[in-house]
Amino acid sequence: MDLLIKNCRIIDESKDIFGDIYIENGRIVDFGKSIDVNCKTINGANLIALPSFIDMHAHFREPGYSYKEDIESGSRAALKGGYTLVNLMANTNPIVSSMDIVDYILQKAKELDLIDIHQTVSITRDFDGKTIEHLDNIDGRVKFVSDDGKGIQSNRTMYEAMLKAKKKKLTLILHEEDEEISTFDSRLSENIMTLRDLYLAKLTGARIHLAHVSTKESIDMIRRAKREGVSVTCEVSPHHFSLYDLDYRVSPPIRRKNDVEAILEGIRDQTVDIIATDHAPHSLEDKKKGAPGISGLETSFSISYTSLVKAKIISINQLSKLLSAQPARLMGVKKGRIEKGFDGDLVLVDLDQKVKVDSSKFLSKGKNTPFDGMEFYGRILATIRRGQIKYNGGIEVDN
Amino acid sequence: MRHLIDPMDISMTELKDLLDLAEEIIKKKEDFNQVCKGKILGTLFYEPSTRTRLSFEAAMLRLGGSVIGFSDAGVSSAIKGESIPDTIRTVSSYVDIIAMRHPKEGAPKLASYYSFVPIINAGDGGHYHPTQTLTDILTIRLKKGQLSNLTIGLCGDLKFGRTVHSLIKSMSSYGNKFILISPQELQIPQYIKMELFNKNSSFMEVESLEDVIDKLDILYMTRVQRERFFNEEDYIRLKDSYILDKEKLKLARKDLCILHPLPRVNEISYEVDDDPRACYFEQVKYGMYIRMALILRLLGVM
Repeated sequence: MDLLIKNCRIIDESKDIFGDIYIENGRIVDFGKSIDVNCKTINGANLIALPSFIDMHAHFREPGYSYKEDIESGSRAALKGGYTLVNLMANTNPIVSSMDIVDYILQKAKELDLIDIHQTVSITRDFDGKTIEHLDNIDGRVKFVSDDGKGIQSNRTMYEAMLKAKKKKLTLILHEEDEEISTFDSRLSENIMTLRDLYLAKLTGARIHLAHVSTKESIDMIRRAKREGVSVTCEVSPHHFSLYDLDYRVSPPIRRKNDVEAILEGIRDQTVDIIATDHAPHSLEDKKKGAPGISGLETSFSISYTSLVKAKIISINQLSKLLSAQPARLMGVKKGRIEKGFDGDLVLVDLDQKVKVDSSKFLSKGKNTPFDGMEFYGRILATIRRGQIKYNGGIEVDN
Repeated sequence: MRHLIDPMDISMTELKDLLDLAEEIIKKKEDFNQVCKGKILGTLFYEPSTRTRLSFEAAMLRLGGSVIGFSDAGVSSAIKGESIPDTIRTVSSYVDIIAMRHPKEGAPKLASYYSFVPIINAGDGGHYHPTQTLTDILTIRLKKGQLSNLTIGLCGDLKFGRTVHSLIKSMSSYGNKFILISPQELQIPQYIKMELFNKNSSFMEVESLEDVIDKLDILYMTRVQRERFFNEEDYIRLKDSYILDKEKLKLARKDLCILHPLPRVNEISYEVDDDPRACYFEQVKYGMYIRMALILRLLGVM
């Protein structure tokens, strides 16, 4: 699909320039100067074009829990939040432990033609915490394995999984939680598992990615491990760097002020590699019963922009790196930057506009958010995937 | 009393005035050769920087003034161990203006609190070097006839290079585009990008000089030091991409202006020196004239 965006401010991890962007057959062919082509055109005056966002960590609940979310509602929520590529976790029903479930999900995404989806396979079969033989059957479409939602309790299983993942060139996305300890001390629970897995990764040479890091101690350990050359990357979620001392059920929980400060420092010094939403939609009933999680795709950008860039923690370029360029590198896709030859996946935003979070207007089925009623800067006006406008939040298009 | 500690101490109006005065000095040198008669410049160089010191001294001598000072703190036992406030109170009793170079960031600022005369920061560690920035800006204005609508390429070590940071900050107020050419490891710090964003100033970071050299009005070269790299492999892979030679210059515009804060090591090949686009030796000369203008204004002589 061809698309021309005229006169916008073009920002990504390494640039901030004015000009046009021309997307031909879904790829960016030129940008940053005056371009005249007769095709579908958007007037980008007063708008900022960023590479669209990439979420390494989301739950779309299908198959099995479609009342919470399904691939279509999740994809529409992603687009509204500026995301065009999402990596889904394996804790559906059945759990994604085999390629036929992967096939089902990827096929569905293809038919919907809304966003790109990558699917994670579970580290242990059906999350049983010990069986890892199914990993031998994974093919090249899968790059990540994870038991997200649950920590792997057995040291031996974790050790063997790392050896296997290394051999298969898979990255392990790790949810750090010790179930015995988390019942009385969630901080100790996260920290002790982080410590173990950093050690095992150093020992085995496996590539690990730590999900939703939330404590000061974990950030410190990761910083040290990176210096020592451990193959570790990590993500933080918007609710963990914008909220503290709040009682809202999410795993790991909302922490203390000094944890938020440590995460911000980690973002500043690039210990933190990416921002991921951990989009975890639930029905009202499930939430009332105590299901942990936040429906995060539709609020991620404005919360991140407001708490990080507006608050002068990092530059907008660094934010673009955290939301787009860096996740693209980790996932091995030619996206996340505005460069010739890269996918024409963009968002058009107005950074001066305020948005008030209204969960009743979420496109996600999950309305569970602690941010309801709060105001943030940065409105997403359009999300473009491979040159096609997949979400239009109020821009005029000249055909 | 005015001091010059941080390049940002100078407003855009004051800067224009200084540049105008420097141009006037260049045009009518003899009109200025006695204006500082009877005035003394103190050069307090706590670390050696021969070029900068000579530039200040020549500036003062060409204005008809005199110079006293030291160029190595170790030489003077009186200075050794003496606090900066004491040294400054003493020296500023003897002289009319001071140029101070110090390895520690903030030392000239501290000196300005105790001095009876204007202090010019002649470089404080990794912090500021405002007269270098003034030199760069004067050179750009003289060579290009304007300070705005230029595409300015900065090449090399953009992370630690203090003159680069000051130049970007100053030139971003005039509506220029920046192309920042450096290896990933040596990109400009976040806080500079934050300033560029707030000023609506365009920039682009690239790794290869050859890809962008044809777009540039100004090319500001800096040195890439081996010790700034994390590993030898990266250094070997990248070192040649940040050396300007005749081959790369073939791709550049005819009116390109090549600047360098000097001293250079190997980042500009000697073969480039004869090219009319090489402006770094003129830049050195302009550095003296802008220091003359600065001394005049701070002394309130003219």
